[in-house]
Amino acid sequence: MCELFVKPFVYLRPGAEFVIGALAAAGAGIFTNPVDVVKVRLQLQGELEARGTYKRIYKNTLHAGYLIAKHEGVLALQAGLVPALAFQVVLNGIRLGAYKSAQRYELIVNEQGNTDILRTVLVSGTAGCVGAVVGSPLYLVIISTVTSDILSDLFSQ
Amino acid sequence: MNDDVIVELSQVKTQLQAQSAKSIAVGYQHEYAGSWDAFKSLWKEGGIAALYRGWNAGLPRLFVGSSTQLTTFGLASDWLHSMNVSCI
Repeated sequence: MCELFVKPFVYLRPGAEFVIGALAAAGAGIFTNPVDVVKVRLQLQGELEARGTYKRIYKNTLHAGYLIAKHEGVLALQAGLVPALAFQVVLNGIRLGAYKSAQRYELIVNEQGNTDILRTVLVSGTAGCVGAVVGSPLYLVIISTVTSDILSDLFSQ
Repeated sequence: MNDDVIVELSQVKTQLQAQSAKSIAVGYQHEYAGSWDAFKSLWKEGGIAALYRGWNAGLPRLFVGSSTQLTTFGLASDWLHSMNVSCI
């Protein structure tokens, strides 16, 4: 059945895999960033005070999202979008691009063209680490921005 | 993630007095201005070394996570190919 839909071989320029990986990660990041915002708020709830003494404002994830949208506007759910997307572009551009390039240049496949487990583990693990190290300033900026927003809200009350 | 957040809290507290006026600013510009300000103050604090602080945090976890994810992806797509399920 698959023979009816044979895809023509498209030659990708070297390095195209990095761009495609970056685009994919940025596209996904637009949807996952609100969930990240809610997650950090939930994690930091009462972090500055001792356990049991703070008032739990957010009851659960959906409730937290609803409260943030209600009190701060829907755009507050996308707080920190720009550095978050930039971090995703760097991390997953490098990670996915390296993986796909290694596949294309047949570094991580065996004779039948299937995945060679050991080499794939090494290449993908290293690519992920390289991407994270290169992108770590962006991650630092994300953390600083998010925590400063939350703390300024706390202290201004 | 929680440890990284705690590390940053102490550094961010000292910047808050300056930033509290900006926190009144409304809307989308604030979030971008906030992260650009964070970038500038980190750069002023110690240049590249301050920006790359904590670069090796979570590396073992990331190695395991990334390798597991992409290897199982490769194996799963090989398996699907072998079953002639999808034409991708």
